[in-house]
Amino acid sequence: MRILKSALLMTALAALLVAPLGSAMAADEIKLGTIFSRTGPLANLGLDSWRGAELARIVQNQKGGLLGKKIVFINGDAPNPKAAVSESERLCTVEKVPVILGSFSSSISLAASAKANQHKVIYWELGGVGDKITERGLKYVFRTCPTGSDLGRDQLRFALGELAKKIGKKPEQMKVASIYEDSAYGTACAAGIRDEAKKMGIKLAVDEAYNHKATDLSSLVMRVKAAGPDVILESSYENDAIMFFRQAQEAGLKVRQFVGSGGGMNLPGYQKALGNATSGYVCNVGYPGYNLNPAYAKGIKELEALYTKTFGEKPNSVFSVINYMGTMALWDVINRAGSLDPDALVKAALATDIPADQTILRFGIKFAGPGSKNMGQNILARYFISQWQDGKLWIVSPAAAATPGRSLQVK
Amino acid sequence: MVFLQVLINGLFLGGVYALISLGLTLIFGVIRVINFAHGEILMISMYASFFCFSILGLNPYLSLIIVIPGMFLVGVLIDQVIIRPIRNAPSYMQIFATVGLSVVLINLALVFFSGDYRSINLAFAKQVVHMGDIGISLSRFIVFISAIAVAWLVWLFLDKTDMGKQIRAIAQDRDAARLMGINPNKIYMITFGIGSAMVGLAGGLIMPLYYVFPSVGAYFVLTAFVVVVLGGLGNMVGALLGGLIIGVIDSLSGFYLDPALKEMVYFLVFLGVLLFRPSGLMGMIGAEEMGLK
Repeated sequence: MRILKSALLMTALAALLVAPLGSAMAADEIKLGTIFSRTGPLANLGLDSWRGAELARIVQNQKGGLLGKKIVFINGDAPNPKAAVSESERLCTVEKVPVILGSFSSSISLAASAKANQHKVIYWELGGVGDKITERGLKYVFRTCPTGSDLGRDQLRFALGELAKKIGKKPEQMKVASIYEDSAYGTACAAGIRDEAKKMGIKLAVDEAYNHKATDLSSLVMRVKAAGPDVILESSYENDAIMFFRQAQEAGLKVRQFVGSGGGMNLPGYQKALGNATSGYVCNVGYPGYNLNPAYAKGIKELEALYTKTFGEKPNSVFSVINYMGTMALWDVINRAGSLDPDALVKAALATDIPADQTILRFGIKFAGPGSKNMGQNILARYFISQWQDGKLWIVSPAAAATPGRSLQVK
Repeated sequence: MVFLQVLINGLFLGGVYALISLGLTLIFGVIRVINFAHGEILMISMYASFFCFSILGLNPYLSLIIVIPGMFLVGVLIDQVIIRPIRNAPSYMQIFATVGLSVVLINLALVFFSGDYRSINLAFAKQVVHMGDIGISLSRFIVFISAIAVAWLVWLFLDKTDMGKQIRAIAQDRDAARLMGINPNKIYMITFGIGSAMVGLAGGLIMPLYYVFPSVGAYFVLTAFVVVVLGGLGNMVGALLGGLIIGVIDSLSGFYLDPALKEMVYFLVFLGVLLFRPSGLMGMIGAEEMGLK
């Protein structure tokens, strides 16, 4: 008993001694907030996204931090949008952070960023793709990653760019079919394709929605077949993607390539159900991961090593890369702002013009300014193209980024 | 030529719908229970077929030898455990019981099999026979032929055999049948078993074409109810006809109008039929009271 008492006393004394030291240290720190799903249904990828930001923090602190101070994260946990609002409120009013980084999930980002904006706190979105996040005209919200409709845009750009070249057709000779499931995800992608087609002056041979719960897609297959496209741009969930592919095979619908927008078409279950038929035949637009060519994405191997060293396991997903890249861009903004004043930060953010060759994913960072429809969105952000080959997804486009030994195949 | 292909696609799709609806209409016609767990019986039989393939390495068509009797037993069990105690209760009680059963089965499947989509990658299922410009998928053709055969066989069974006559007697007048020495409980049990075995056949035959996950039944069962009501409750030929009609409308409207509108079109046709023939295409006036024909 006595031992316990003295131990308690010692601890209390130690705490008294350390406490002033702690607050003295705080003056040399920059406190920034993060909001990710650290628990709950999205925790797996939410936490993996946060790890990207955490790696950027570690890297920057090794370089001496920001404005001569160490960076510290106050990590908020948002398993759902409701929690995101209260965590955002806490970070803004109790912790008084100047910037919040987030958040993987679009619904969490939408909720948390609106709150942060009210408190004039910068919300720095690294991975949530919902178009709405940057379409609300919020002054303090910025996003470094591409959007949902950018998926569609990049599907079409790829089809008329590298794919057309590989097939040996001119972009205007390519017949493009766009099919999409009719919920928020599919319609956003399809809208992106439509807008880009309009800009390029291309007419889509097919532009059809369907319900992903349908038990039969043969009539859609027949419509696509009747149009005779070279390439099918598809936005599907898993089950409907499998069904469309199977019924297309049954009907003898042949194209040079399928280009998906992630969704169900980059899941292992899709490949498993269809087997080798997808090999060299199905591409996907999406975030790249650690299988990028290290000669292209300079530092990717080092980042992977740092990830493994820091968290004691191999990367769980591709999400840490894009979150790392966006966080590094934030350091650039804070350095140029020279202070943590919200308006100075906004000014510095709007003046951002990071060239492509200075980021790990080799796309630049430049935000849409006030007055534009998507204020705060990185207009230089883009996706990468991967292709199913021999049961795995490999990066194939841009060609320079392709996994070593892999290149785009067509049928 | 395209029209013919779309028509064939529609007929084959209709075969799938019909095959799933036949068991439902039999159970409804005889036992007068609207079985909301019908889709889940389909789900169980698809899983059974899937696991026969993935664990035992059995071809899905061969595994029917196991799946069909297995599903007969499942049907008997459901009838004896769930339906029997509330046989004479008001019909909404029976509806609650089958809805409850459906929720339980979906969640049990989620616990044991997870929510993943599982499918069988079978070379045979992808084979297509070409006749000129027309392609005929072998596995879909089998479903189509089976639907017709099952409808005919069950009709024959009900019309010619002693057991069939007993089933029809029960369906037409329970009390009179009882007075003739027919044991209603036995007949109900066997009918539920046969109805479920027919769904077992459907599940086994469509497994090479589709994929299974815990709530797959909901995707099919709404259409199955439409088919059953359209064809006339409790009528085998009606269910076959109803299935084929819905399939063809689905396919034609999807191709010539818009894939997003096809459900609207067949529901419009369905509403129209109900307006002019409330008892369905083959159902006699007041069929819901008369039962099986």
